[in-house]
Amino acid sequence: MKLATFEELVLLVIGTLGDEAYGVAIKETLQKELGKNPSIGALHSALYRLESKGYVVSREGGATTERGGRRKKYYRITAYGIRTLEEVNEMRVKLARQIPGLKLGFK
Amino acid sequence: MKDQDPPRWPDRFLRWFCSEEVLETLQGDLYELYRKRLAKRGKLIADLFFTFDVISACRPFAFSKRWFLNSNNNIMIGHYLKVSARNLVRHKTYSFLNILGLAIGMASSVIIFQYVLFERSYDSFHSKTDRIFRIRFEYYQNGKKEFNLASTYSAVGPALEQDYPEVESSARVIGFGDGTVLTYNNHAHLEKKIFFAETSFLNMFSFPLVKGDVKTALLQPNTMVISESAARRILGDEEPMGKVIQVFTDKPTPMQIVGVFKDVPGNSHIKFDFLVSYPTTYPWGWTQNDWGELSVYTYVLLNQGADFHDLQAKLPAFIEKYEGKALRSTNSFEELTLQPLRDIHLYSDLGGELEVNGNHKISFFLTIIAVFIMLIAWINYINISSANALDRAKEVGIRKVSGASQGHITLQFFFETVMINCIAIVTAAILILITRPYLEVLVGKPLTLAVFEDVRVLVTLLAILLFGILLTGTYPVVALSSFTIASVLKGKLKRSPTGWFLKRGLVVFQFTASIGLIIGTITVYQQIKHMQKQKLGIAIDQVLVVKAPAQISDSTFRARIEPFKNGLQQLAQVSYVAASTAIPGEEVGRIQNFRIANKTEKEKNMFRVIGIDANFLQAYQSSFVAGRNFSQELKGPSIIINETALKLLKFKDAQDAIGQAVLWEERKTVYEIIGVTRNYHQQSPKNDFAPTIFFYNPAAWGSFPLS
Repeated sequence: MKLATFEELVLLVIGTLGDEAYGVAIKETLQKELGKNPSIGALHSALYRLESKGYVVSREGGATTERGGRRKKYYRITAYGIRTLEEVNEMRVKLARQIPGLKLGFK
Repeated sequence: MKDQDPPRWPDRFLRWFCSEEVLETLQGDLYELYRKRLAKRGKLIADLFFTFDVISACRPFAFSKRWFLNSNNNIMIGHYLKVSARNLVRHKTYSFLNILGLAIGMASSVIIFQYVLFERSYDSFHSKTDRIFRIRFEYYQNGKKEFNLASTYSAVGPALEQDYPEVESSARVIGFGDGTVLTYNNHAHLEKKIFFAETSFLNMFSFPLVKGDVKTALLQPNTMVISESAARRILGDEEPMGKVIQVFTDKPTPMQIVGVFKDVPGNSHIKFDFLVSYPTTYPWGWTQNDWGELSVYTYVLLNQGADFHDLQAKLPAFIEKYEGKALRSTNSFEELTLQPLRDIHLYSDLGGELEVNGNHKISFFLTIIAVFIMLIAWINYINISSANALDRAKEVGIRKVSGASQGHITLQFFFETVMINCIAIVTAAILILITRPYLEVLVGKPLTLAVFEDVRVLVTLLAILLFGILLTGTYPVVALSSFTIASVLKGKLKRSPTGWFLKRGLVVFQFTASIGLIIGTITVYQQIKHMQKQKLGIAIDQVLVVKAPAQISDSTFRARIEPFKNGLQQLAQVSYVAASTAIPGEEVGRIQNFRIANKTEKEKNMFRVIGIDANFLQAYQSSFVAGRNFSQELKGPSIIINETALKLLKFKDAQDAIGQAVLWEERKTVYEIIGVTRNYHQQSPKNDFAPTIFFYNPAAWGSFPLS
């Protein structure tokens, strides 16, 4: 498996957040949009895996007083990351089409 | 601002395990989340979530690199393991000797320790064990100590409880002799572990009842409590409560089961499967408030905080109050002592002990022997390893040339030591498990591994083993790693004088200790052999003893015993059939007062009494100094005495005693002395010859020696 389910979700969220994808923002989006509430440890662990697999790249910046002067790590999805998402999605759709009565489409 | 900060300890923990690069962003995120939660949901919730998040972040991705050993070190450790294993395999004899020596040493010491710990654990399982004391009885006459006993008069317990407020309760126990017959559903069982006991016995000791009420059990006559295993043995799967079992006390008596207790542990000085209620014995007359019969084991429980020495000091006055007059009239003297319960097994060797007790001296020496065995094993290991050191010197030299530091070499040799020790420990454990069943038979006790369930014992053992590894590891390691390259490569290896001295010292110690142990073993063996060779004064080799089940004395008994004896007599292999109340080898429990009929009461003395029939002395080939044996056609009541009794009765010689009249105080009957036998050893040759009187009892029921 190229992408675990949780990793896939995180990757999607990073993609939607654009330039604002860092730890706390990702966590809050996951919660708001998908109702997921991962622990910060699980999230960071997933982020490190995504980065080491090459699906995302990171840059640092944005130290605030709120963060006790600690820098944020902003993530951005790579071309490889996007292609992987496409592949995963394609595979899923392909399989889903074979299920009779399953409607694919956007509401 | 302080209230605005996240809790300190989790934060510190985070910094401790986290690597630098992860810490920066992770901590930033955590702080940010903390602030948000603080504003929204208050400090407590924020703190809790912060702590939880820190724990959730404790995953491998975040760990600082210092947790993973430097890869070079990892490789070296693997290398050491490999080299150690190769060395073990290459020097097969050396490794074999080393491991076997250590393993046997460890196994022997652990087994001995196990035994000693078991011995020392006697009666420790009672919750009030430190407050329970047994009354020990000593009897003196004419200023000379006559005997001591583990039991006493039945009046002592209640009187102590009544007279001294520090005595919280007392409990009396009476034995059944050699056991008795229990009948249920027409099945007879010969049971040995059976006692009469008061209700207070169950409350004083911790023998928990599984069924029944400890407050009321054993209050009524003809009731009893029974152990779980005995209930299974006799009743099978039936519910024991309320069942009635026939028990032979002095006659067959129905006893109702009013309680079931957990089986008595192996480390109890009193072991029983049945307790019959004490009031059952009241009709006998002497079991309630009597100052004559000495068969009642009496325990007292002192109040919390009471010092037993204080009570001990009051006991002479106690005896004076109840017995002073009677004792003075016979010029005798009695002493009661409080024996702490936990001392009974290892420190007590009285008449009528409930079982053969251990000996604290033996336990102590065994401990010393165990320590020495372990020391010898370790020293042996050191010697073998350092003898091997010369062979390894080249290896050390080459390693040093290739850049190994002293630390590296130390580490490598330590690995080998640890490896050998671990293999030895496993081997020792296997040895212990294999030999255990045989040793249990030899020792006659359950060498339970239960002591290993005790955490303290386990920790101590592990500490000893670790200490051993350190001790045995250090010397060879230091000796080996200190070779200098130059001396190795030149082929000149000189040991320092101190090393030489140490090594010789160890060898000398090892040999001294080994030889000491061997000499000790031989001495004990010789002593036992010497004792076995002693002439006992009677012939026991061709004697076979048939034990009678119980003291049955109903009216039909006399009629039945003669046919039994005649039947035995008709067997071609049997030359004599005899009967007696006690056999050689066992302690004669019956002690009675006798005096020459025309002397005053002051002259009376205590004698051991054995009831025998006409064949007894012949069966044992005991010889007469004077007089004759019992025979069927005796005229009046007559007795035979032994040589010690002759002296105690102050007769000039054996001839002089024949025909003399002797008064048996307890029976208030005059007996004529018809014979004097040579002394024989009733018990071990270690014991003195006891003054013994044989009386004629053709229906003696106890044992039938056949010869």
